[in-house]
Amino acid sequence: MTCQEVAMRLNEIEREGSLPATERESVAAHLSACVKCHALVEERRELANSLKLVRASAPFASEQLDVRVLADYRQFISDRRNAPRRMFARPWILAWSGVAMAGVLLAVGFLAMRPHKTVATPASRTVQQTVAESPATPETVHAGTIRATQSAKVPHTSKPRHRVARAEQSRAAAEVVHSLPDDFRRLMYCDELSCAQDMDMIHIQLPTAFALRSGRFVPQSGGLVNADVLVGPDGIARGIRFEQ
Amino acid sequence: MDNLALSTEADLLTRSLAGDERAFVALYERLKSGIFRYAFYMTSSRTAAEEVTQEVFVTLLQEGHNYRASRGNVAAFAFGIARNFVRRIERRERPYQSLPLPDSSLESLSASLVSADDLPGQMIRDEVFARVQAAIASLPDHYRQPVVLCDLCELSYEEAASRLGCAVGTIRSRLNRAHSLLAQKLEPLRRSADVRSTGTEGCLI
Repeated sequence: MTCQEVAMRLNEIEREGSLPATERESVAAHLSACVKCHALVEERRELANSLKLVRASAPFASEQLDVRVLADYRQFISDRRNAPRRMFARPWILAWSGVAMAGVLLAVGFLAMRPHKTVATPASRTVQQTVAESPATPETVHAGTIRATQSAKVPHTSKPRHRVARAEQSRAAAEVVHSLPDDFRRLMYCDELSCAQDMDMIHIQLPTAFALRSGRFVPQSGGLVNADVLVGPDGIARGIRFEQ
Repeated sequence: MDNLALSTEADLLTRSLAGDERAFVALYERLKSGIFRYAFYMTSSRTAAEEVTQEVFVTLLQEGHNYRASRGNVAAFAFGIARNFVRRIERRERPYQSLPLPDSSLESLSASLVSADDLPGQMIRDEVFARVQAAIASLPDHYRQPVVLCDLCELSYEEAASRLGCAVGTIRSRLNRAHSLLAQKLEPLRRSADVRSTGTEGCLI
C-alpha cells in the first residue's frame, strides 16, 4: 500500500472498525514502515478522540424546552380549532379569490360592452360628434332586412373517414366567401355567423377627411358626406356605402 | 391500541397535525435530540440551540402540510428547517462574535495545561472541549457542516449527503479537508499534551 492510498483511507482509519479487515493489515504494515503516514494517522486519531470528547460532553436540552414545545403544540391546535373558517386563516386564499372574481367581472364587463366598443373607435367617435352637432343629420333609419349572400356552400359531412376527405372539406371551407351587397365596402370580416343574419342599415354623416381616407369617394363641397352603414346582429359595423 | 413506537415519522406528523398529542410527543422525542445537538454544535450556545429546536417544531406544525414523503423523510425536513434557523441566528449574532484567539494564546493555554498536573480531569476536558468547539466554529461553513453531521451527530456519509444535498464523495473529501484544518488548528493543544505526557522532568531537561 502506498502513502497516497493511506491518505485516501484516512477517514476510515480514523473511524475504528470501518476499514475492511482485508485492508487493515496492509495499512498496518505501511504505517510501521512509513514515519510520515504514521504521524499523520496518529494526528487524525487524536483528533477523533477530541471529537469523541466533544460528542460526549454535549449538554442535553432542558426540561423547560419540552414544556415550551408542548405548550406551543397545544396553542397551535387550539388556535386552529377556534379559527372560524380555514379559508380565513389563510389570507392568500382570499387574495386569489378576489383576483379571480375581479377577472371574471372584467371579462363579463368586456363582453357586455363589446358592441359599444366598436362605436368607440376614433372614426366612429367622429361620426357620433358629427351627428350630435348637425341638426340636419337624418335620423337612424331602419332600412329593412338586408340578407348577406354567400357565394359558396360548405359541403358538410358528419364524420369524414379519410384524411383526403378532410382536406377537401377544409379547402372548400376556405373558399367560402360571405359577401355584402356590391356597393358596400367591407369594414370587418364576414362569416356565416356575423353576416348571414339580418343586418340593420344606419344612415350617417361623416367628415370628408374620413371618407377620403377610405379611397372610394369623390370629394364634394362641404365638410360632411352621407353614408350608409350595415350593422350586424352583434352590433359591429360590417360594411359602408358612401353617397356619391 | 396503536403502537406509536412502530409508527413512521411521517405518520406521526400527520397525526400530530390532526390533533393527536401523543403522536406529537412521540415525534418530538424522536427528533429533539438530533436537532438540539446539531443546533448546539453549530451555534456553540445552549440557549440558541433550545431556541432553534423550539422554532423547528413550531414551523413543523405550521408548514407540516407542505411535507412530501417523496422528497425525504421527516427528519431531513426538520433538519432543513433547523439549518435555516441556525443561519438566521448566525446572521443575528455575527456582529457580536469574539475575535479568534491568536496562536500565542494557545501556547499559553498549553503552558497552563503543563503546569496543571493537579487540575481535576474535568477541567482539562472542559478546556479541550472549548478549544475543539472553537476550532470547529472557525471552519468555513461547507467544512463545518460535514464535521458536525458526521463526527458529532454521528450520521452516516449517506445521511449527511442527503441532508446537505450533495454527493457522498463530496462529503468524504470535505470531511478529509476539514480534519486536516482541525488538526492544524489543534496542533498547539496536541503538543502540550505530548509535553505533559513526558512529565515535568522532560520540561526541565
